[in-house]
Amino acid sequence: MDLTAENNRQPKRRMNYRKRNRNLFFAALVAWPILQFCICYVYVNFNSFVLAFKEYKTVDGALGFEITFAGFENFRQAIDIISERTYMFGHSLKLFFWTTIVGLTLALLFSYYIYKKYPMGGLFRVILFMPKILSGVVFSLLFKYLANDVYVYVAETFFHVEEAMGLMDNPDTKLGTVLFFSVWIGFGVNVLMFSNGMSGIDESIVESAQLDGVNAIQEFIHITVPMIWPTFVSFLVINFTGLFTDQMHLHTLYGNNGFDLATFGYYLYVKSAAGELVATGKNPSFSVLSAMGLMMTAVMLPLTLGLRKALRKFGPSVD
Amino acid sequence: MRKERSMVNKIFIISLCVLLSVYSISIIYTLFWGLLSSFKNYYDFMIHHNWLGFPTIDASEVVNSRAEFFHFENYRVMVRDYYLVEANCQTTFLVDGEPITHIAVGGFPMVLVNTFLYTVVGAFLHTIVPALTAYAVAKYSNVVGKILTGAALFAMTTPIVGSQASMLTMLRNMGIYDTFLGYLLQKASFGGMYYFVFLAFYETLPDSFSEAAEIDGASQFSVLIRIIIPLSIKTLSTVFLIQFIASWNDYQTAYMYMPSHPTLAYVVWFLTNNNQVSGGGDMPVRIAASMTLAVPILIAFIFLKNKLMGNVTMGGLKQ
Repeated sequence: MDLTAENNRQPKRRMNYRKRNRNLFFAALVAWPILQFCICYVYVNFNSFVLAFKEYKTVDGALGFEITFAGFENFRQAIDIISERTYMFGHSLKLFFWTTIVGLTLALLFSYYIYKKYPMGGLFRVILFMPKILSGVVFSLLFKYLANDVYVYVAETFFHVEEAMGLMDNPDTKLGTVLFFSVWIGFGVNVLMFSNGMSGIDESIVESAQLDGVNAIQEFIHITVPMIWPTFVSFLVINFTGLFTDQMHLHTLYGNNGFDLATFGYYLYVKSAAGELVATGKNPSFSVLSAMGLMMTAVMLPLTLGLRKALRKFGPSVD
Repeated sequence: MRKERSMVNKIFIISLCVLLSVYSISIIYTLFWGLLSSFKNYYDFMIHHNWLGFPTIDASEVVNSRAEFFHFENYRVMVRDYYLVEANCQTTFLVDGEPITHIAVGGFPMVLVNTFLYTVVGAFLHTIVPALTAYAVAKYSNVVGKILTGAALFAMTTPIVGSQASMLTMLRNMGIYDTFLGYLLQKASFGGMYYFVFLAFYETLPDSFSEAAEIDGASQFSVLIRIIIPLSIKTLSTVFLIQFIASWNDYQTAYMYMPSHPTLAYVVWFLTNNNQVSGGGDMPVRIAASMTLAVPILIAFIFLKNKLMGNVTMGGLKQ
């Protein structure tokens, strides 16, 4: 036996053995995530697409469903539902406007205050983050009582308003109140990310601008916002992707009775939770809900990509 | 010029300070009002309309005894009357056209068990799966890893609307709807923001420790357990904490996918939106229920606020 050849082969064998072990270990680590992703993301979304073209019927006197190809019937029904509730577009857009344009702008201003270490900035940072830590259920319950019962009591007792109505019961004020609530408890992560991002701004840029005579507002508009723009764009895009899934906290505030204020997200959530493969009572079938979701996705995909591109292209820059 | 700039700065800073102070007071007052109201009894709150003051202990009223106040009566009523909530925590759904009913059992102790499984096990899986996947992708850089990262990014940024119906259909067909197995299947996913947080962490972790251990004959598994996990324990614990709080506060997943396994958050939401439950008709009892949800997290937040707020940035965790 050639001992030299055998000695040369041994390290090679050991290397192969190690390589095989590494590959096996890698496979063991990623096997579950791949399987889970295939089941809960790929299959579920594929099934959602398939469901949109199926019709389920219960079989008289027997178990099981009769499944037929529905063509575009589910889409037609989904369009009927949407056209009966066109206000859902308005509510979803108003929610986006308030939480994104107003909410994110305020978050930027608050973050600037914290970043500049103005008085009580640290305390404000903690309090702004608090609604993120505590359950939305807690805040919505307390807010509901304060905006309805306590508001009526205060209005009648101290301001002598006759037959005052709760802010969340009054049809004229309920949408505004719910939008306010969404902005009110939505600062947490935005402020945290913006202020963390602002703390990375090069001090020399700020100092040279101050020597040039810029005031705090000019510094905020011309230096801070452009420097934090990529983070702002990320939040804007994340908010935008939620345009048709965001519920405006309606389920937390009104349970299943908030349909007069419904957004698309609320409608899809409540109807899915109460729904079945076949239509039941006022609930459309899962197939119709899937068709509705598919249409919304078809609208949202190009819009999201377009928005991301536009914001990157036309965003502000540091002068 | 300088005087004018100083004036603008002052107005800007004072305006922001006032706005932030008003916001902070509104948050603190809401929570304080909730805590105070949870100690008021039905007569004090609902009949005497003591909405805004401290709890009044009028010994002349039988129901308003001092002992009742000190024994946290509203909290006791919430636990005692839980069976009324339980009676409503049930679901009927069709599997192959056959109606199947699940009813909540086990009383309030079961709520605590459900909450533990839901929060601790759910948060653990939602932390460890992304962490192990990110480790595998970072350490064994290969095509599969790149595909996994691409898939995670795609799932995060693509707005897919209305897949709940499809998810429910799949879980019901698999026989795991309204079970913890179905919930944990969804939770044990690698995707989401924290996958990228872990990926950034493991990519920057030096290989020298694990390489030295491997030369000494340690297996891949030993390296992971004895070196990598202890090195990343800080990041793991922060992400676990964030996931724990998110699960503790979340009632919507339980409502949608496990309606007969109520958690504490689900019970509070149920009390908030159902007047037919006796304890639910009593506002201080409902508020007390919401406080049981808020106080543990508030205490945890006070002690761990730096860990929670200081570590999270958009790109990764600051160490």
